[in-house]
Amino acid sequence: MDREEILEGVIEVVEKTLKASDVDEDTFMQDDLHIESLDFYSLLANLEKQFKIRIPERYLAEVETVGDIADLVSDIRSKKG
Amino acid sequence: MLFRELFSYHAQVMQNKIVAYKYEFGEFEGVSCEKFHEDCYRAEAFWARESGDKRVRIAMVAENSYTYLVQLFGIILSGNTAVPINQNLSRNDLTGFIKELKIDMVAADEDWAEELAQLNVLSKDKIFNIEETSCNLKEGGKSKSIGEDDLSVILLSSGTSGKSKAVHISQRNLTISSKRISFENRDCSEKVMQVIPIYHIGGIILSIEELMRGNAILISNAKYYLIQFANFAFDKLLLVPAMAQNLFNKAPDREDINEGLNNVKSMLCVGAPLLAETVSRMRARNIKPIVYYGLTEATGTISGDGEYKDGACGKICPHNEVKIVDGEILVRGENVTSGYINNDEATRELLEGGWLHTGDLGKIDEDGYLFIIGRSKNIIILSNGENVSPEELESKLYECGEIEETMVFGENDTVCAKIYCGRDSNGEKENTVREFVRNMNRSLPTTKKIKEIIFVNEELPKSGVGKIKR
Repeated sequence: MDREEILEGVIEVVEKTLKASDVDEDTFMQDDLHIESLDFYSLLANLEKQFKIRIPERYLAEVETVGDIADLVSDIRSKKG
Repeated sequence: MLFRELFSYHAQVMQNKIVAYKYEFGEFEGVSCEKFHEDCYRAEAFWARESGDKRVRIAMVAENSYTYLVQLFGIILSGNTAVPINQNLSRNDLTGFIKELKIDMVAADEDWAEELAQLNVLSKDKIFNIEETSCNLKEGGKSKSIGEDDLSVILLSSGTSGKSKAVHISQRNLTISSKRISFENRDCSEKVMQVIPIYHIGGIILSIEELMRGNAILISNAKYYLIQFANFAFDKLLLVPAMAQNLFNKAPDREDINEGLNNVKSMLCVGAPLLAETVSRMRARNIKPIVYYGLTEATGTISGDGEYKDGACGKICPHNEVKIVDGEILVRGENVTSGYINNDEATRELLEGGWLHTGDLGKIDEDGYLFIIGRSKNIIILSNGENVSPEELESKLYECGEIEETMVFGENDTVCAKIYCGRDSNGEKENTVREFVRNMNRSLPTTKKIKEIIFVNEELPKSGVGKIKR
């Protein structure tokens, strides 16, 4: 799965979890989607389900945009081999 | 009583019933009592082997899960000491605690295990991925012989007044509160979602208590609780009030959550005051509210029995005595710790006169219910002699939906509040908060009015167990 496919998958999960539309790589989780902390956790759980990986909560602090999430998923998947 | 004895009793009573649920990538799996015990004994065998002849301290650094609970029990059964630590601490804080608490080994999630190995905080062969710390009983080691007063768990106290202290929890401390349940009120067969972190005493004790009630528990966490709740019919929830509130807020737009709430018979809320509004929402759905009062130093449960009474923290539990001296709640019983690790001075203060000094202000009514009024150690003393409890004001402030975190303190003889409105804070939210405080002040005596609001852009600093530092 390359970065583009991961991004597509991330956008699909973000839109479904947050009931949002027109989400793209540069969408900001806070400024654009106004995500609450408890919803962020749900988003992580749905991403884990989609990509069959574990995403530690402590990485939340580094995430600002949808693209950051795709990078994070991509990193974890590549580490997993 | 030793934990092993309580655990064996559980196996005898439950036999082949489902006692737990595992969750992985969207799938739930029921775990029979036999399988659960086998998993715990395999973890015990592993830790007994790795620790050899020595009794060791094993830090646990991972999010709540079935595996976490199994490993916790395995470590305790092996005669070693489990030291659950908040997995969301910074690298510096975590390595600091590992050194300070003289940790011998670590059971961590894959991510932390890799990172800690690179940091050279312990030799690599002492750091384990928590998913891989299990072995065949034949390949395992011999568990240590232990007594009731020996260490079972070390927990960082939730003291909010500075540096965390390490609390000594013995085998006796750990088992005492479950004794009243296991012999009097068992076999409820409810499906329970337990979201309280196991690095809090509440997470450990409530998990043990639910198992001893004959219930089946899903060990959940902040990340999974919503998705799990929406996909499974739970009878009982153990969670913090903000999560309960979140479920009620989401129900009108989410049929799966609405339906989930229709299945719930009771909710036990710990960690923060339960708002009257949340109680009303529970009652509107025939959900029984349950609250309890406890401290790490009292191994969790001090009160919490009996039917819910507005404003109270349940009836005082039979395993401890409680008295109020100069307004402060004092506790004595087999649940009380023998003290802090490597801190004799703080231990002497804590247990002065043979009673645990909780630092909380309370009262007991004629029916034996305990009411918490505030925390004496945090009391703001104004120059006119008036005492103000910051917790009392904070719980009122949390009724404002825009406030994510707040800390009330005294400065220049006035009451001030630091307020964090979340990462998406803006002028509109701040105006809503100002208006809320103006209205709140109208109902308060002059001495308690909040005179200054300081908005902050970052979360407030927390202690090792995630409580706001004062």
